[in-house]
Formats: sequence, structure tokens, C-alpha cells
Amino acid sequence: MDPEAAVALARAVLVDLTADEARAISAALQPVLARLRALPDTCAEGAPDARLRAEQVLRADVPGPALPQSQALAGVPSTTPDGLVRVASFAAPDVSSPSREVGSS
Amino acid sequence: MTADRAQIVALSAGELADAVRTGTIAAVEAARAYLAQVEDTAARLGAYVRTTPALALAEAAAVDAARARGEPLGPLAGVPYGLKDSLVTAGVATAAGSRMLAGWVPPYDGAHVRRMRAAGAVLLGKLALDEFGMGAHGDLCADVPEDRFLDGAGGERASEHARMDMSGRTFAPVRARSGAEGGADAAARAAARGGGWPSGHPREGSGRGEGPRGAWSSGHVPSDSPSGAAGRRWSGPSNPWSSGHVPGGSSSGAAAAVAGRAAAVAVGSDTGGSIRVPAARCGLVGVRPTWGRVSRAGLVAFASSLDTVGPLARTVDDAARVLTCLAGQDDADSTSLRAPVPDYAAMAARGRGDGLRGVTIGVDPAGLAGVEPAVAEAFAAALATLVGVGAAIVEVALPDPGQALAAYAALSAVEAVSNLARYDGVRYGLCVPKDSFAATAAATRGAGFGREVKRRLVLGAWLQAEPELLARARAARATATAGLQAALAGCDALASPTCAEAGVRVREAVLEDSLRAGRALVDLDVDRFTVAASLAGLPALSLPCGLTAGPPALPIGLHLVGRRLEEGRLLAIAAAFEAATPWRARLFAGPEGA
Repeated sequence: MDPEAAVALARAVLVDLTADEARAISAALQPVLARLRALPDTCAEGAPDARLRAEQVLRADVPGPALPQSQALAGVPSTTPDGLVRVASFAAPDVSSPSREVGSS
Repeated sequence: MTADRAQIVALSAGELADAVRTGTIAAVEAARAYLAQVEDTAARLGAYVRTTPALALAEAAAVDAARARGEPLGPLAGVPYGLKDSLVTAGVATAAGSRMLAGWVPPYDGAHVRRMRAAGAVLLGKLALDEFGMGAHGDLCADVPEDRFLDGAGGERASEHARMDMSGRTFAPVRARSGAEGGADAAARAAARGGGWPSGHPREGSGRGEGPRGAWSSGHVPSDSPSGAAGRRWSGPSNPWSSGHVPGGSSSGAAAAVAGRAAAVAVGSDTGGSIRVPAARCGLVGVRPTWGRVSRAGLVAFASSLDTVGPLARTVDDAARVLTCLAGQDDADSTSLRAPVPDYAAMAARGRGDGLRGVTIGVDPAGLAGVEPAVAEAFAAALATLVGVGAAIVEVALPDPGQALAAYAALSAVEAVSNLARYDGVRYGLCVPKDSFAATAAATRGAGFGREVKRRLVLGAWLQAEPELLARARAARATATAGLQAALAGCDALASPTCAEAGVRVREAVLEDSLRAGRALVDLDVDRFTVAASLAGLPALSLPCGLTAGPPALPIGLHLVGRRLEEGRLLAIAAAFEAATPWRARLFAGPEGA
């Protein structure tokens, strides 16, 4: 993975990288990627499926007490005068579209 | 330290709770003693990112008032504790070691502070950690305590960036942090060339570096860490046993506080070894419970299939008492288990009293290759101690740690991509406003995440486009799980060192990118003995099993892994071992021999 690929991958998960960060991360990941590529290409026989559990952990949604809106949104960076979350436009395609086309080094 | 304070902090948490229950010591008195300890050790340890003295005194007063009314007190009545700052607290800022969340005040209490409060424990403050729990050394904390800033006004406090109005009216540009560059560390470079162990001890011979880990090969402090009050970079707490060695991570502040007598016990979290490694580095008992044994409601998530919450303590009994309070089903966490919670302290007491006759402990001799000699000697002595109290040692073959480490790196990175997606500049903390949501999120996350977090996110993004490699990682996890379960079919617990090295030296140098690659591998390998239990969701603990000759004397950890939901059996083994250890008193006294 070269630094340019690191930048593209970071943008795919909405993270801006500086050139210095991209170089450092690219270098740091080389040995990690080598280890991943060295993993055996075989499935574990008889290994338990982590999705199977003896116990049903899912339950139906049950309405319960909720925080007041003002308290629940107190940590939001920016709100409108009527207390709603302020979000910038989703229209601008300047980040995700090109970067998601870059998949590997 | 006054005599009274010295007497109070010399007690174990169990002894202190007993004293509060009988009225020998008032909870407020204990809280004041520990708050004074916190203040006196702040500059040296840097364990806390936020202290809560008013809350501590109020909680302690409530305990004393309950006693005065004749009400029954909880099992941790009046015990002052610290909470890792990735565990949310209503009204108390929780930043998870990140600039991203600096200044964020949760609107609710997590399960852990609720349960500790219900048990009568008294919250002293929030403890430093590697950002979002991503670190093995405790040197990647980006949430800097106020007293560590160069200017007393906190001119570079990340929290100042936390409230930027997206309309731009009150926008202030994000300033790059600056700080004195540490000088190149000759020892680090020597180690990078294979000249010694990470602990700084010389490596004997030239061909002894066999095994999966190489020599320490990179600098220690990331280039984006902030500056400390002394003009040096501050990136996390100090190890009370040696300021020249890291405390271990990611529950670094938790370990530093308990070992440094700035908390009676602490609550941390463990994903790949984040309770056990710092417990080993700081001479403590640290328990990673079975996945689901303790609620994660209120834990800032890193890798949800691996994250757990558990105690760090100075004794096995203290760890058992805290685990008993934390464990149990919680409606706020659908993954918490409904299994009944035994009295872990009682199980530990039985182990301490009855010994280990009939208990079988598995050891994989092949897994000890490449272990630092001081650690190998301590581990061999630990096995002899276990045999001395009645245990039988049997040989087992454990999963390949290299594959387990690779699987952990991959799966935790992919899960981190999902869990950290919520930090987008809209819902929490930091916001760097731009023209679009995507640009805002990218700029915010670029400014808010540290380099190690970004490295893992890039790895996770890369793996999302490599489904075949991701499948291999999942298969490796299944293999590790099956391997541990097979080994545990023939014994009651598995034993190994917690870490292969006796310590990791603090590095002040920022080295070249080529050496950062070595750092990444070293970080992976630190969890060599701990990560398989994480992948398998099994309970594990670390407890002290010796000290290096020094100077400085550094604690060495013994790692035990048990069957699912058999924390009690592990604690019984640990208690029997602890009681038979001749140097237990030395370790309990801590670095200062208090």
C-alpha cells in the first residue's frame, strides 16, 4: 500500500490524511499486510460458529423512559435555534465517490 | 502523607470496605485520603485525565449517612476507585483519550459507574487511556490533563475545538499541536538494531532472538502528541515502578493509579489485552471476563465482538469483589449474559484456603520461544509454585500466536471502522465545518483522530475491499477458538507469561517511517499471549509472578485462561498462587514500598 492508496482508503472512511500521515501509515501497515496475506487459505474444521449461541440475546424493542431532547442533544456540536441537529448538505460528491473506487495497494 | 492517609491507602479494597462497614474508617475519611493521593501523584503519574473530588465526597457522605441510618452497605462501601475514560459518566466529560470527544459530557451513566455506585464505591475520577483503547503501551493518549499543558490557560486544549458552529459564525480554525521534539534516543536505535530487549535489558548472545517477536525497533511517542508542562511530549501516564518504562495499555491510567496508590481499585476495558498487559506491567491483578459476563452499556466501543470490561486491583480478592459487582445481565446490553453471578471473592477465598489439589494447568512449551530470560525464569518459578500448592502441570499445544495476532489486527480494525463511524462532526464532540457533510466528516475525523486510530481505520477500509483475506482472518479466529477449547478440554486453565518482555522502555524520539513499521509489529506482538483468549471470548487474568532484579525492578505477569464463565475457578487458582508467593507482600506494597 503506497501513501496515495492510504489517502484514498482514508477518504473512503471519511478521514483526511496529511502527506506525512499517509507516508507513516503506509510504512506502518506494510508488515501487517504481509502477515495478513500469510494467513492460511483454509477454513477451520470443526470450529464453532461464533454466530451460534445457546442463548437468544435479541429481544423485542420495548419503549421506555427517554431523555428530554435538550439533554439528549446537549453534546451535539451544532444545533438549529429550535434545537434540531444541524447537518451540512449531503449533495456534494467531493469525497466518497472517487475514493471508494480504490480498493487495494 | 499523614499517618492516617498512609494507613488508609495501605489497606486492600476489601479491608477498607470492611473498615467502613464497621465504622472504623469513615467513607469521607477514605475519600479525602485518596483525593490527597491523587493530587500528590498527579504530576508524577498522570493517571487521571479528570478528577471528580466533589462527586467523590458526596458519594462518600452518602455511604456514611446510610451507615448512620443503620442501612446495609454495599460490598465496596467507601472504596475509592477510578474509571477508565472510555466508560461514560453522566455530567462528567468522557473523551476516550481522543481529541474527537474532548469536552463531550455524556447525558447518562454507563452500567459500570451505576453498579460501582450501587456497591458503595466512590468515584475519584476518569483515567487516561490510549485513544479509543487502541494501544498496548499507554503512550497514545490524546486527551491531556489540564496540568500537562505548557500554558496554564490550556491554550491548546482540544476541547476548545469541540464546539464549532457549522454556520461559521463562531468558527475557529483547528490549530496544529506543537511541542518540543524529543531527542533521538541512542538506546532506542541500539534496540532497533537488535541490541537489547524492549525492557532495556541486554540481549545475551546474537542468535537468541528466535520466536515471533523481534527487537524493539521504533520510537515511542507519536508525532502528533501534545506537549507537557515540562516541555516534553505528554502522551500518557507513567509506570509507577519506573518512569523510564511504559505502564502498558490501553488501560494505562487505571494501572498507574492503582499501582501508584491513587485509587484502591479501577475499572478498565480489554479488547486484545488492555486490562491484562497494563496489570502485568504495573504489578497488579487484572481480569478480562468472559465476553458478555459484564455489560458494555456505556463503554465507548472499539471492536464490539472483542470488547470487555473488568477490574484492575492490587490483590486477587479485590479483583474478585469488583468483578462480582460488575457482572450480570443488563437490559441495556443485549449481549450481556443471563448466567447467575457467583460470589467470586468466596471462590477466591476457597482457592486460597484449600490449595490446588486436583487442578490441572496446561502449558505450551513451544509458545515460550523468544521470551525474555527474566520472564522465562519468573514463569518457571510460577509453575513450581503452582505445583507446590497442589496443581498438576500438563503440556498442551496452543494455537499459533502469529495467526491469532493477525486475525485480531484485521477483525478489530474492521469493527473499528463501523464503531468509529459515529464520530462525524454532527453527533458528538469535535466539528470542523465544511460545505458538505462528507467534507465536514473527513475534516473533523482528520483533525480529531490520532495517527494510530487512522492507521487502524485505513487497515479496516483496505480489508473491506479484500473479502478473501477477511475470510481468512475469520477462519483464523475460529481456529484459535477451537484450539483453546480443545486445550481446555484436558485441563482447568492455561498458563503463560502475560508479556514476553519484562517491560517496554519509554521512547522520546520520533524516528523514521521505516522504523514506524517496526513499531506496528511490536505493538501487535505485545498481545502475543493475551489475544487468543480475546478472540475466543474466554475469561483470562494477569497477576504478578515476580520482579526483575533491576534496577529498576519491574513486575512480571502470569497469564491464566479459563473456560467460558469460569472466572471463579481462575480467581481461585490465582488466589492460591498469590498466597503461596513469597514476594506477595513486596508487590502489594507497591513501587514505593508503602
